[in-house]
Amino acid sequence: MSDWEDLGTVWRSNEPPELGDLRRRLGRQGFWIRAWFAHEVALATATFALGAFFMLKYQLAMVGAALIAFGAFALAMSWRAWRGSFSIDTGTPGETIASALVRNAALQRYIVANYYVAIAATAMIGLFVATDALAESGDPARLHKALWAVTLSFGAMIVWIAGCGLYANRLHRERDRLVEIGRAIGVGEGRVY
Amino acid sequence: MRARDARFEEAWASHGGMVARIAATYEADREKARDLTQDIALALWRALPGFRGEGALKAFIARIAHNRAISHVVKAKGEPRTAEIDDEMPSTAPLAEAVIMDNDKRAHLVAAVRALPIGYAQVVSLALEGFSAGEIAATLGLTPGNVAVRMTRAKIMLQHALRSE
Repeated sequence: MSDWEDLGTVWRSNEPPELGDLRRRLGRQGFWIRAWFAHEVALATATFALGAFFMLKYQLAMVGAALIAFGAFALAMSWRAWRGSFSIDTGTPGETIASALVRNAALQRYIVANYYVAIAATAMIGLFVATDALAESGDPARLHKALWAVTLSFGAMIVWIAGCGLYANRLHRERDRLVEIGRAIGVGEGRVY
Repeated sequence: MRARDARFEEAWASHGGMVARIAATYEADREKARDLTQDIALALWRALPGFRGEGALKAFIARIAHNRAISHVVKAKGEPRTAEIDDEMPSTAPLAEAVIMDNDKRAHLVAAVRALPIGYAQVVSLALEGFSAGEIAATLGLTPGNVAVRMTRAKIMLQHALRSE
């Protein structure tokens, strides 16, 4: 098709576009990724510290252990996301989609694990409050501390679970879009011929 | 760092136009296409040190551009918009390339390529860049037979689209 060569000539008739300040763009992108990571690590560390504080200061072992478990989970998730933030896919589009789906599935597994941990931790804390209230009901100061710790922990957990729910929803939608695009370009579950 | 910058500038001078064309194939909105071009440029700047010369630099850049563009489409599909992104729908939006190039003929061609199903548009955009069927197959991870089938169908669709204008 000689027309095809003409089309190719027309197609390639633009100049390289002017680029803006790429270094500034790179710096801004890097800044937000680092800021987000620092925020996650700070939250996880605070959760850790709060857990250790409850454990050592008030001897609230179960509440402390639950908070420490959450802190560890948050750190693991932040680290995983951080590792993928700066990577550049240089494989084929199919490989890019496949690796995005693998990352998506791994993060969803973390979320599911988190739900189980949250349910177990909530049950543990509930049990703790019940036993503590029954056993130490004669000590109002002790009961006050336990209720304070439990309220804080429950509040943090509700916020955490709600955040995970939103994140899981986002991941699920992203997975659907990846599958859809994969199907459109002929990789993965469906092929275009 | 300077060597990296020099290498990037050289690559951009040779292949920046191709990157802009690939971005325009995936994104109809002028500003978003420019944004995508910059994203690809940034990805290229990061990835260049990893290029060891196994194959042509042009193919390496085309791969990065397509991968970034796909990530862009995945993200764009999740964002609210005024018009659905439909792989088969011809775009009525102002053409990024038309403004950049002030070239109606080219703008029509870009619009026609963008109106193709995404799997066909990928193959056609690379073929128009001068890649061989084997190179397209390697870049997109397809079989040469699959590339040939897509090319045949895409050419027919493209001819219809260009004739109807």
